Amino acid sequence: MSPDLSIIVPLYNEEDNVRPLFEAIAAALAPLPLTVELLLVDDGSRDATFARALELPRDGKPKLRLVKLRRNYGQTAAMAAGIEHARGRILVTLDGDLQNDPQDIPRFLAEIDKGFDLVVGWRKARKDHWSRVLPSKVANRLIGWITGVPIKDNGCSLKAYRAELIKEIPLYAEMHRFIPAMASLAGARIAEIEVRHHPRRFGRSKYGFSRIYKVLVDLVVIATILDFTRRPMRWLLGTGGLAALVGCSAATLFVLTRAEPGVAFQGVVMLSGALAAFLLFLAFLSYLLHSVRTSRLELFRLLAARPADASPPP
Amino acid sequence: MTAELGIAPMAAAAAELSVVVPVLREQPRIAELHAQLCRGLAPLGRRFEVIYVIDGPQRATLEALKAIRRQGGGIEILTFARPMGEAAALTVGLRHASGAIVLTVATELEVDPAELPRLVRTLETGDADIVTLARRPPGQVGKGKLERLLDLLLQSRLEDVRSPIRAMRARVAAELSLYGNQHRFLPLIAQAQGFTVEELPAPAPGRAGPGLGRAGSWPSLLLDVVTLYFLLKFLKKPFRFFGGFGFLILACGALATAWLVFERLALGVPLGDRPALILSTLMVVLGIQILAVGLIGELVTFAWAREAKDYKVDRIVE
Repeated sequence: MSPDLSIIVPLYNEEDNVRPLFEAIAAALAPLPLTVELLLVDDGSRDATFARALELPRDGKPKLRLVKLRRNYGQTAAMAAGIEHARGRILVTLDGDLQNDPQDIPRFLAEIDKGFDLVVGWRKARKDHWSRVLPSKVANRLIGWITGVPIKDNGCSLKAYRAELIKEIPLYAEMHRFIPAMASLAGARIAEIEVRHHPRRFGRSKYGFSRIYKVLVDLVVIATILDFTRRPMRWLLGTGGLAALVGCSAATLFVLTRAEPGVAFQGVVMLSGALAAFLLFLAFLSYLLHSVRTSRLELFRLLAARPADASPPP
Repeated sequence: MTAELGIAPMAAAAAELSVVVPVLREQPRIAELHAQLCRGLAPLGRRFEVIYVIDGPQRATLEALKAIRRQGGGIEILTFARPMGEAAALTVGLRHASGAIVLTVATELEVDPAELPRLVRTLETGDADIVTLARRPPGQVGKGKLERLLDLLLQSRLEDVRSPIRAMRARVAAELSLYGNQHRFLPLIAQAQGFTVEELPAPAPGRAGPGLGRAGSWPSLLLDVVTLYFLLKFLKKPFRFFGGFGFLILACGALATAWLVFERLALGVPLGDRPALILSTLMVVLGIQILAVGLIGELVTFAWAREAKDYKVDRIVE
């Protein structure tokens, strides 16, 4: 029988945190009348994380499942592995470093019960150095602005999802930052609630020192993906159209004024024409991609539609 | 002849050990190689099979191998009708291997066959999924240019990446799929798939085997390494790669164009005849093209992300 709730925790070199984490989660969930499974995903730790996890009590409260990855793949992949193997109806992810407080989980579940598909934590009072907090604030603003999903804290791992939604969202590379944006593709109703945040007790920070270049590049990617799934390649056609416009207007100008254009100007006109043609063909290529993979993208649309009487939109 | 082979490998019973030998060109001394292999592996006392994958129509070698098979050697011969390359031959050989441990060797056995049992035992007693045998002791001849390049780009710590002499567990052999020139980097590709790799240093100072340095010409080598670099680092995030080049070129082009326009407006330098304008525009165009191609790559990754998983699960404990 599938459990009501799956808790997914990626662990990477967290040997000192395993037991306190387990105890905190068990204590937080004990009052709830739910069957719970706890998935610990060992992301190729080099220390005794997995051995410590094996020593944890297996009395079924919560039911423990350990997933060991072959090597270190990074946080997104570890989460994706946990999500893939989770069996619950509702999934909750949190960090393995005890900076998230499992006591917050019941509030997340309450939001899901209200009819939200995705509940995102917001670490209002972050207990990290300002050099980590400031860049992440800027990044969150940018992400909200570009993806159109204004989430105050994309980096918070404490999130709750409906299983059928999150299992369809492709998680790869470092896409965990963009889960809300991806979920918006499926018309997800997203809630954001404040969570407690604790300073690190054991171990050092491994994940999350976001580099500006990476986030910027990923932003371009996510914007393209969001755009692509709605209307294949408006961007390419737009840029191509602009290039064509530049070329054509320059050419018209020369014809009308009967001026003798310099050789270099002629070159520029031809180059912009070539760029326009190139981008047009690339746009065709992306249409091709779109039609080959319609079934993949179809899922988002199917998920977005739901019966009108299910639950009142919050 | 059979007496010379030592313990003749048995054909009928399931093999515990498989040896894969890609045969890339006519090998007049293939019988000698086979005898060497058998002698080298005999001390292990395991049942083993030798799988020869003949890449293309090498009639003389095929006849020689058939002769060995008639004498009762437990060997399997696979042939390609036309040459498909070493990576294909190796992959096919690995798929056909039935042993719990799979050895790969080259037709020019560049090490003493007596080293092979040591390789197998290291694999069996250790944690590694693949053990490769370096063909020369560390520091004796120095690393090849390929190894140095790989050190630099991929932080590979292997002394002899290209060594064709490797022992691996069956689960590695079942999963590896190699294309193009990837057989040269087999340990690195296995590592990327999450297998652990160990390198066994060559035995005490011997002579470097013949043909150790052949890795192809510099340009093809460079192309291989860059391809591998892309494959291992950017397969799931192509825009990090394309975007880096694209934004750089686009920025250079935009700056140069802006400077030329500034010169025209502020200093009155005629613009229409300056070849520099073509260059700067060309850079803008090229930058946009690289970015667009990278984005298409990202869309491919997105559309296929579910099928090609990022991670490999070692085990699940319920």
